[in-house]
Amino acid sequence: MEMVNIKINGMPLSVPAGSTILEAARQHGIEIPTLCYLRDINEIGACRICVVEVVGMRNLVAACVYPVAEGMEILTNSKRVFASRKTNLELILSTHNRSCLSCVRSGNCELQKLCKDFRIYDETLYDGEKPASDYDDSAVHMVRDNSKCVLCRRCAAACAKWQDVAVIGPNGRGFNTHIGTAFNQNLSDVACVSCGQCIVVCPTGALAEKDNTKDVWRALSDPTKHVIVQTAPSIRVTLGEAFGMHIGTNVEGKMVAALRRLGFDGVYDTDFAADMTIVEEANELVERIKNGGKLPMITSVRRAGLNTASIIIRNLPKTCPPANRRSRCSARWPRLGTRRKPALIPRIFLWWALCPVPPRSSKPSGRTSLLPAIRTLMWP
Amino acid sequence: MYRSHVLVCGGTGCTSSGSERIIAALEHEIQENGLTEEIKVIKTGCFGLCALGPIMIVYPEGAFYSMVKPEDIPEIVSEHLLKGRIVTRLLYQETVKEDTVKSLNHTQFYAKQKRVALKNCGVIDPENINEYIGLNGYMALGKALTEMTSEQVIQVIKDSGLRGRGGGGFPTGTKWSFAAAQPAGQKYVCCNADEGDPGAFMDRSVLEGDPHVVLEAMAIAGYAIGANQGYIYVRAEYPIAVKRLEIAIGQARENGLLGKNILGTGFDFDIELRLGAGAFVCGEETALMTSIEGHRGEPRPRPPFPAVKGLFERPTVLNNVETYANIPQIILNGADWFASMGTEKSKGTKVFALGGKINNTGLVEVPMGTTLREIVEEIGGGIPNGKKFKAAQTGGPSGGCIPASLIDIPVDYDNLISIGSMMGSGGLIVMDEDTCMVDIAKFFLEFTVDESCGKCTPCRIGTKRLLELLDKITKGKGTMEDLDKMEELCYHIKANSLCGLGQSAPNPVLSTLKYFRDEYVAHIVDKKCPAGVCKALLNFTIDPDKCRGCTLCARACPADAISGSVKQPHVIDPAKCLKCGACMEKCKFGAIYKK
Repeated sequence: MEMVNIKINGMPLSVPAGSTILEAARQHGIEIPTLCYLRDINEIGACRICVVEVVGMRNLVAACVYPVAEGMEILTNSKRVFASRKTNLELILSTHNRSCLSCVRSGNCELQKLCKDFRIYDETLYDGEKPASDYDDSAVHMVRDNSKCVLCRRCAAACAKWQDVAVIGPNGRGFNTHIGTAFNQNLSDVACVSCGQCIVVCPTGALAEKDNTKDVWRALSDPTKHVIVQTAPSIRVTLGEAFGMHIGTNVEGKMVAALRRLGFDGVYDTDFAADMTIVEEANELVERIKNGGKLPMITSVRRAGLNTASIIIRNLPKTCPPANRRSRCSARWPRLGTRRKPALIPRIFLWWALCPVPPRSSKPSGRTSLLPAIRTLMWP
Repeated sequence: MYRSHVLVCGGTGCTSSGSERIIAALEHEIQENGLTEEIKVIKTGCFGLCALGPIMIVYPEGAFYSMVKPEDIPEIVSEHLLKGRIVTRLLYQETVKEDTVKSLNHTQFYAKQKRVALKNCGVIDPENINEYIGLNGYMALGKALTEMTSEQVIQVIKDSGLRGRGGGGFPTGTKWSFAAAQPAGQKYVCCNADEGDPGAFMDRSVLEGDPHVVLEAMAIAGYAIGANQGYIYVRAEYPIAVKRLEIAIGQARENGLLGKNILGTGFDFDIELRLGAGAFVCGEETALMTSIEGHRGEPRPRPPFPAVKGLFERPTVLNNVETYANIPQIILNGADWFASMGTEKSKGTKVFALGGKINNTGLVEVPMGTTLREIVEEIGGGIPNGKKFKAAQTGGPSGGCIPASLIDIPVDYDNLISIGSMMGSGGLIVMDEDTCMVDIAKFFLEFTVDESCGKCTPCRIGTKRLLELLDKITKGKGTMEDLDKMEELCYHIKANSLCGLGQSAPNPVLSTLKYFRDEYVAHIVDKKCPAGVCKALLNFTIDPDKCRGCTLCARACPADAISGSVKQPHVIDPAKCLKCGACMEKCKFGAIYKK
């Protein structure tokens, strides 16, 4: 691999040609703060938190996108660099909804961390007009609060480049830029598949899952209710991470014990329903193939997958009429419910909704959303 | 064989003053008088003296009729065209000389101009390719394709010293050589016809008056770098230019000068138009390309530069309209010819759009190195109403002002940068003693805030905060701490922004602070606007010695702020006064003044 010789803060280093300053610095243990940067997904040089000085250049450059060149001398922590990063952060703060005390990300927010790291002593320094912002809680799974958005564009990038769904993006221009859907429709009215990846990559509390914890507590403390919980397959190997264990530790036993101690009357495993579903799906497919039934058969196990499936079905070409495409087995959870229903009086069916596996390129953040959100569904 | 040609300006300025009706009236009268075989009427591009539009020139005499109205046409036709008697009262008065006409080239407006980029504007019918060809059109393309190699073409452009006329001033030959050096494959040639600076209309006039020069130059560029596809990104607010370009492209294709196998040489090159949608930021090269690709017109970080990775990630040359307008003549006349004009580091000429407080508003083209004094006092005809020259703004919202003390500066790229301004695309706004420099800075900053794309923090939020500070100052609520904060923020935005828009947005503020700091201090400390512009700081007062008590002002006042009985001096209540100036307009005795 071709290498180039550069200097960072006076240190001579040899780095692969074509690296960005950020990559080169990180390879050698030199940390540069970032906000909008998300490797491979969002590399746009927008927030200007990662600015560095290049000797001989008049202006500062964004380390996350500026490529190194032979002989380049970079300063990552000069007085000018510190002052510039701080001002950029103060400008962002001036348009931010600073109600940290009631924010779900308090203590786990990238913006808060930057404020601590940069020793912000006056978050009102550049206060002025605040951009108009909307609050969209139309979607069943999440809330969009643009007053906390820092316009890093990571959500739009995750949605478009990573998930190929592309329902959110920047609207408007200049100071009035805001993230939204096409024509600022409700999130529930567009092709959002509820995959939750935008929430995972959002650095602040602008995007958050809806939280039904208090409904669960209410159900648990109601002595007239028999409350059961259904655990999704992957939770038993992701839950441990939130408690400081190694990624992938199987905590099935602890999970069930903890749930019982919380007060659940019964813990059910989705695997059981999954097995039943697989058998039924296989039979249905064989049946369709043998008897000339409609093909392709589309099915999915997850909420997000269901949504995607619905979108695919709606958009099938005219030669493939949508009726009867979807397998009658779609979605594992009702399977379990149907089997269990007669035994519960009255029935409150709790679905341990799963969060998708964390993305490859994000670091584990210990945020509370790794804990599964608990959904309450009133079952007639 | 026509014995007389009548050229009528069909540029946007004259068109909106009714030149189409003049042409219709001319054709009607000519027919009525049976002169259709003898007189030809031609709609041309912009002549440049826009202040005197609609403009009409009759050849062979060269009679320059100005401010023509359709009602004047019957007289012009019957007197001048039929009987040969020039209607001197309708002529541009400076050209009237006893019983002949002074040549336009000797008028104050045209004497010091050298029309290179504007060579054909006002001379040919832009909707007729044969007129362009008749004046050596497409000869340069022919020469390049048949007598020169790509490397030789690039070398000529390099030797000429041509620098980008869009504002950046980057050496054009060097830019082309970067793109040519990229491995062969799909490459593109783009033309930046987005011309977003308020008050600038140089590119508009070239596109409307001589569209073929851009097409020819782009084809030459394609040959030089190895590209066979070009895009002209033209702002949708130029409908006449769009129409003329469409006609030109069509005619060029019909004549085998665009498309496949141009002039039988085997070289393919075609051009498509792309229309802008109302974003100044799309004049920035990477934003322009992003827009052509169908995305939001937002700039991208550079490097990589467009010559290496531009449109659709392919090597791309992007040049301004005026830069292209110089190319064919450089190829035909040689690098030395071009380099013989201008200064050592700024070769050739520059087109300026003169506007503001100046007598001869319009388009001028002068050799680089012409002093600002020559442009303002001689070519521009000085400041109207005998007012004093205060400053000239060059480079629009990205540029800075040149104060009266520096009026003898030879205008070229480096001189302007050294005094804190920049050439920009050529907009030149002249200001007099009645202009408030703080208000001017605010005007340009309002524009930039509105046009910021919103991607990067310092421009999106920083310029807005800067504007809020400026607004505070113009309303008399600023403090000296605000002034320091403002200046610091200016340097921050310059050094931290992602693209040229943000990097240059604070320039009007910084340059007015540099040369007119006393005005800022007056607004802050004295709470006064020395030029009498900032409304919040004005007091409208009635001079009791001049007031006759006619009550006209009191009746005109929308806020009921004036009190007084008939025949008694009236008084304005400053608490109620809206500073609208209605009373001042009504007063017949000049008794109301503002300070």
